[in-house]
Amino acid sequence: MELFINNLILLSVTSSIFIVLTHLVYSLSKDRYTAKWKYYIWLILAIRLLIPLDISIKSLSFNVPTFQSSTSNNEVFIKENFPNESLNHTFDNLTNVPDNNLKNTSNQTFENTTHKEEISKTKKTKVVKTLSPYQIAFIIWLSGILAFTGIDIIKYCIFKRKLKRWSLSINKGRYNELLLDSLNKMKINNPVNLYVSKTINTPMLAGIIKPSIYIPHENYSPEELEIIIKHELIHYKRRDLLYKLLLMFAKDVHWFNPFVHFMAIEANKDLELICDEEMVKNKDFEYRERYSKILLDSASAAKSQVHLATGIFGGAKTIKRRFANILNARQYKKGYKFTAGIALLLIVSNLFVSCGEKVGISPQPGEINNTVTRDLWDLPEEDESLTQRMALRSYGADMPVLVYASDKIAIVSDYWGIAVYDLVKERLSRVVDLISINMSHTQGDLCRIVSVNKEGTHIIIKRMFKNPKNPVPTYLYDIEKDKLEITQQEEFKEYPDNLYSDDNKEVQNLLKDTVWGSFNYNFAKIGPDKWIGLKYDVNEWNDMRSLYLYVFDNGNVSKKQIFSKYNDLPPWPTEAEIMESHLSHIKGGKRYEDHIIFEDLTAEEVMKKFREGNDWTYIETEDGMEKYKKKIGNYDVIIGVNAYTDTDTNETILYIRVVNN
Amino acid sequence: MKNGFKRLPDSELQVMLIIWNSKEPVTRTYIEERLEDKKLAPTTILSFLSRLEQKGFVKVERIGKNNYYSPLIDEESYIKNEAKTVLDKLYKSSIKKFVAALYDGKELDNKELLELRDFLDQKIKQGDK
Repeated sequence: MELFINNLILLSVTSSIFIVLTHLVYSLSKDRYTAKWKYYIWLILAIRLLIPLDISIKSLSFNVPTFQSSTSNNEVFIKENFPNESLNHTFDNLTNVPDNNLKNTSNQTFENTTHKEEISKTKKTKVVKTLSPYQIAFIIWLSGILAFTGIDIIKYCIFKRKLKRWSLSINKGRYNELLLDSLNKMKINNPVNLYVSKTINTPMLAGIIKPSIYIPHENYSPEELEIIIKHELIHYKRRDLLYKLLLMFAKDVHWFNPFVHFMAIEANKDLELICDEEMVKNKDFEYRERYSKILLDSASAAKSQVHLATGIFGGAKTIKRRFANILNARQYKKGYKFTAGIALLLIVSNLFVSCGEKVGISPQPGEINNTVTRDLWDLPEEDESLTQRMALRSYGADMPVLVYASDKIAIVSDYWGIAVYDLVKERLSRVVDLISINMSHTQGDLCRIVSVNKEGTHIIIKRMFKNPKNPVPTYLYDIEKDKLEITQQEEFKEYPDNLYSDDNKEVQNLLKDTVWGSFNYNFAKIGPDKWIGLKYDVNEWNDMRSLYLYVFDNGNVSKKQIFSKYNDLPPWPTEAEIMESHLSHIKGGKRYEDHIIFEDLTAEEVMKKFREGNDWTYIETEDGMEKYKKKIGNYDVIIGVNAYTDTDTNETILYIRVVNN
Repeated sequence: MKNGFKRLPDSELQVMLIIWNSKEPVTRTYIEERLEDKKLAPTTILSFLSRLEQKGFVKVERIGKNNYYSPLIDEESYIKNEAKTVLDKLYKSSIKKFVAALYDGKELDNKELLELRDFLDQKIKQGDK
């Protein structure tokens, strides 16, 4: 968000500089050069000004988690009844932002000075749980666009509707013939309609999709009308209405920038100047004179009905320039060298801007002051969803293993993927899904290997057995960039050499009486007397309840929770508990932990004993096992029930198993 | 609506525009021709005309076999009544943005117009030399 706003302002400011520059060059050269070269500059600038919309999509998607979390912050803020202090604080920051940025961009010391200030402010505002000034700025900017665009669109629709209501199509007679003639002469194949409307006071071309010519009355002489039609058809041919539309949108997006408003006005004037030039090209003075007079008549007709005290705005200035332009038989120079020069400068400056974007996007704001020397493990803010993603994964037959550990990070690999835990900040930093790339097998022919380089910056994920018939690429995961890509690299130069299994003497000494699972590579020596171990808590039905890293530091043991699924919830009921508390309706039989033995009863009769009077809900029968469901405590427990007769002893056994998952 | 004119629907206004546009009373066929691109059935046009007659906008004269229609309310007063107030402001702001007008500059006052006329004359004189 911060970056987006910064880029937007940077773009707006650099464009403003170009607008001023262009106008300056024009003012100094207008006696010798036409306005034509400006037309292209405005066009390039307008397009460039509209591109941030594109960037915004990128940076928005990039910042989605940040933005969402801030929205929830905002909710908190609302619940806290708007403490006055924080509200003032927010507004203070808001008013500071544009100023700072303007200063920054103009002397190009963007990153270092005020940026930090901004960041510290952002942090402060986060403390009081409110939107950052950037987010407020973004929201204001967006509302501005919606308002400006909305008003323009509504205005246009009403205007078009009114104009149409009051217009009468001229499809016959002299005027229409004249129009057809002109269309022919100008080689325009699409039909352009001619309308008369008493509600307008100057001839015009209107309609974005299908432009038509509107004239205010039918009292024009054929010569006059021909000139008017030609003028409007030049606009038509040049697609000037689209040009205007483009400039309008540029202005709507940069509504806060008066220079862009100025540009839109200037560009509209330039369109007329260019059209005038086209009109009188290779024409004699008499024609130029006639054209000027029609223009003057048009201006007179546009005279305000209500007398306004004007003159101070210099309304006559523009039209004087047009007259001079039309009547001056001497050819003005085109001045395309100005276009080329300014366009070149523009390209150079754009490279500059986009470089700024690139430098800016990768580091997370608030963490990095210097992109080069920053700490390798400055990974993003803790993301709740990472923990959730990891906790909700299906853990396969092989339990998670520690594949890398240093004093900074620990990397855990499991069936579904890889998790990187930041030991310094004590949070989960990366969760990489390997199921989606078909690298989830930890056994068998499709078995994968996860190896980390000694520095702990990259991970290679590859198949243990290469199958030439079905080649599967090897992947390289860049932890810092959080980027998984196909690689040709199969090996690292060096692998970590500090991983041990629990049959290691040192490890056993470390653990003493602690009971650990018998899985390999669960310990890493990260210092002379410092070890790290992975401990998990798994249910009987392979439901991973929690995952911890244990740090053994010189005799002290500390625990870091990667995730805990049922942190403060009671544990799942065991089969024995279920048997005792939830199947007491079954009379008779000899009870064991997970089965009941009956003598002289058939399997069917035993099942009947179970079904009668129980409070479990039947789900389905699968492989001869009947599944039932019941809510116990916080959990929906599913059990499988079946009975079979042992023909040797003539005993029938009723088996109960918890089968969640 | 100080004069109490009824605001005409678009279709009826189109018919009125044709009647106003013509200097003489018009027939139904004339209206039909001018509405060419809209392709309305003669009965539809007749019903528009009878509604306009009822509302007091047109009067009908029967000459020979044909009905001739002429306006009872002149265009200017109807425009003033409906359009001027709302439309003027809207047009002014829209002209620069949405249309390419022959003259899209500011509304000039008499003094400025005179000044412009002088300027143009002077320029023309210069050019004649």
